[in-house]
Amino acid sequence: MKRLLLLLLIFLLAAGSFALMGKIKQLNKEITSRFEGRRWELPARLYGRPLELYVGKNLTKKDLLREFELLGYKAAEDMNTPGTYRIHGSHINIHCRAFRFADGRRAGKTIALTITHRHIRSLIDTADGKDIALFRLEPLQIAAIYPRDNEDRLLIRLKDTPPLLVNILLLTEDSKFYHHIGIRPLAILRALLANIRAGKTVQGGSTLTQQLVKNFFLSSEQSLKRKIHEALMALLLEYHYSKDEILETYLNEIYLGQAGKRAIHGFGTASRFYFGRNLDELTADQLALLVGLAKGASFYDPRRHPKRAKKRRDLILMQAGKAGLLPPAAVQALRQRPLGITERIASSITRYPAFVQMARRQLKRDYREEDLRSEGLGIFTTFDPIMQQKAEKSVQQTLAAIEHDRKIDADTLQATLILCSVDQGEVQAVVGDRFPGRAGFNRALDMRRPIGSIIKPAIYLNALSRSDRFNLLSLLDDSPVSILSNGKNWQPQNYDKTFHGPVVLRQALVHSMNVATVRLGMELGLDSVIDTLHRLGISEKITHYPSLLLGAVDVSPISILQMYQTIAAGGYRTPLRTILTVMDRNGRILQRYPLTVEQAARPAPVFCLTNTLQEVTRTGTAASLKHLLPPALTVAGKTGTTNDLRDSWFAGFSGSHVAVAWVGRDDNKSTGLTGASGALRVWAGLMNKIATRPLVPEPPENIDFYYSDVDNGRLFADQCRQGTLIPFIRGGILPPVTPCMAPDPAQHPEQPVTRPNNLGQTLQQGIRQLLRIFQ
Amino acid sequence: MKQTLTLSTALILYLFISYGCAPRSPIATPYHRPAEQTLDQHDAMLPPVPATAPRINPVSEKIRDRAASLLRSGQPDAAAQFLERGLRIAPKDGYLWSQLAKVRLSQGRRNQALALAKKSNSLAHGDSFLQQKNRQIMNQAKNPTR
Repeated sequence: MKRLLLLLLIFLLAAGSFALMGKIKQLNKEITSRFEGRRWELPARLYGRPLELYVGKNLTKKDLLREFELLGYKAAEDMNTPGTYRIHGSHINIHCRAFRFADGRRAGKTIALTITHRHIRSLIDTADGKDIALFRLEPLQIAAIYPRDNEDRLLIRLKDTPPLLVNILLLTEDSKFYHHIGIRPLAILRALLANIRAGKTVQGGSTLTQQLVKNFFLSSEQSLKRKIHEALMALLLEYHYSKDEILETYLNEIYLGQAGKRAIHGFGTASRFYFGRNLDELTADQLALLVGLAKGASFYDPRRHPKRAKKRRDLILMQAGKAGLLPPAAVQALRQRPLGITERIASSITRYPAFVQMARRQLKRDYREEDLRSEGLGIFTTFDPIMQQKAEKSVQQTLAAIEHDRKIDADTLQATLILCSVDQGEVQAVVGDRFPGRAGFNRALDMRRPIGSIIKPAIYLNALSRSDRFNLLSLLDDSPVSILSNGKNWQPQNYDKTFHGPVVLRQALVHSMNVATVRLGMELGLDSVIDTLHRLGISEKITHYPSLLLGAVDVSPISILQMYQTIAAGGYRTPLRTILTVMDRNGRILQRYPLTVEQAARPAPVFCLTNTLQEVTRTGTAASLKHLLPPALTVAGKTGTTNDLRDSWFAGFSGSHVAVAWVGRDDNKSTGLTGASGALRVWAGLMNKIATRPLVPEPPENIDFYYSDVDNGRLFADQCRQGTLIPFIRGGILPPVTPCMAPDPAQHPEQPVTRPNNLGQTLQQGIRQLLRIFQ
Repeated sequence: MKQTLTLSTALILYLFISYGCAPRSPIATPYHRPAEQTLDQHDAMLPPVPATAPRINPVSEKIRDRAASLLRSGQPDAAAQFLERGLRIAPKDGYLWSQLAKVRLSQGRRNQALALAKKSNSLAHGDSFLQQKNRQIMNQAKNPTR
């Protein structure tokens, strides 16, 4: 019996050892595979454009301060820390942070600049006093695409971690870290006895290694089995990896907070999450607060439990003082400071969902969703946070004003506004909803609405491209027309319900005459017009109905932006882009999205079209821009209004920016707004706020200007020196020439002096006169 | 005979004088603003003829130098990236567009080189040196040397 029991015991021990060996092997595999290679799933981070600084740049102090606020820069007299600035009058000193751009790492630097009359006048490196030609601040992180488990990490290296943080952490959590083997058996025993006496958990005996294991691998289950696993894994961790490696992992792994569904892991992320600054910019009290969270991030959450958080922080500061890590006087002063926690952002993912949505669609063409969520990619975009702020403000203010003026219920109207650069097609701001932080239906990308008269420039460009038949003074017919379409007679009307008879082409576009446009479009051919629309950048399928000539096609605002970018860039289409470069977590370039251009239309017809679109903003349907924009800011554009005033559109451009605005209602009811009374105001509100260049188009070499009678579609004779200078394509058809008009036609009726100037007729007249002499 | 000759000569002279003095049908020729502009009252009322002064940012030159250096050292991607950065600052600088065209040509992207050179020409402001550079690029893009 005894031998049977012994055998059983030996068998059980052997089996137990076997099982234990098996378990250890399994745990070992888990530890090493998790630690090797990637270790973590890191979110992709999207960055906006960096603010470029150079002498001559149009920049106000106000906009620079806005940039500082977004980047978390603080005003400070001493400026010893990166992320600080100092302003004295027009002189600004900045201690810039280091940053790894797509084209290389830039070290932290202190620079000095002066801004007067809205321009940078000087830019100097304070280290050596030398002028700087070109400098950029680091870009704002505008979004992150998180792993499926919604963990957020901003990786830090141990060597870059503030020593004070490490010292306080070790003091508070594991003072023997560099001496133990992963577990402290005596500490465990002590804690066990204390807990038994108290009847509950009052003391922990976990090392940092054990805490790391718990965070990394195990649940928060409190059981003996789990404790044993934890201890085994801690030993294995210590066996395989150095103390520094374990500590670095801990610094990046420890759970330190929650933002909605997003878990905040690591001191790097927590620093940004709680203070809006990088870890190396934090003060001692702020570091102490973060260390205090390691014991219980929810319990000591400074936003929900500020008193508890402060008490814990102050305790840690005192311990640090006693240990000689901080001078006693400093400890007293630090304990008096408020917590200094920043406001939390509304969306846990991004403040700019409309733009980020657009960027993600571009990324999805080349990257799988799981790569975006786990590879720690750095993605550099074209987004301009200052432009975005101004676009959002313009939408909100203008809609509120319109609703107030027209006694429309508040928040009834919706809008979209998108902005890009003229020559590079870089999308800088996207407003897809009047409540911009709301991540829902993105009207800028996904709304398809009839576009009304903003389609017309494509029709007129098509005509002007046929310079053997059309020029800006060609006469069109604005008389009633009936067109058979889909078995029905379509009889388009003008907005003013009148017909104007013969009208000059230029005037027909300036005043957006519907009937003349339809007749022109039918003469050009619908296929040809559709082809022009696609070449300009309209990506939607366009149905082959005559009503398309008046914009009865459903198109998205982003497509309209592409179309007008092509026109604004002199006929050179640049595909709109949001992403510039993608970098891996180690800073290696994975992909560039280069600038590409394609000549979609010849420059000369585009120039003539642009000349006319400028006139639209001076005397045409967008003439109200004269009162909404500074006189020096010359622009071009087109209004659009759909049936029953359901959609109000404006698309236009300056010398450097193109923008499209739409105002309407989600329930598709009438707004009572035309393009001029609605969307144009939103557009102008943005253009007024941003630093943009006036439109001064460069005439192509084959353009000639003639003095012209724009009302009657004729050229004035040279000696007249009257009329409007109108561009014509050299070699193309020209209008007839009219003699000069008398100064006051009412008092001096026109008496044309149209004597022939050919020799045969001269001879005849000469002979008649001679005969009269002899009569 | 002598009288007939004199009368004929007088008649011919008279007809030529009549022809010369007769008013012609109105003609129109393209307007060219004189090189030295003196704005009279009439000119001031006319819409502006676009200025011929180049709209180039002073920092452009430094960008061009840096990009050229990167291209010479065999880093066309970096050169292109730098030029794109420059174009954000000076989008109407024809020389930057031309240099980007040259970079694309060096990368074998001939269609892009052609399009960028044309774009540069559209911003040349009559700069014959720049136009000549672009012509060379366009010729090489259309007829690559083997």
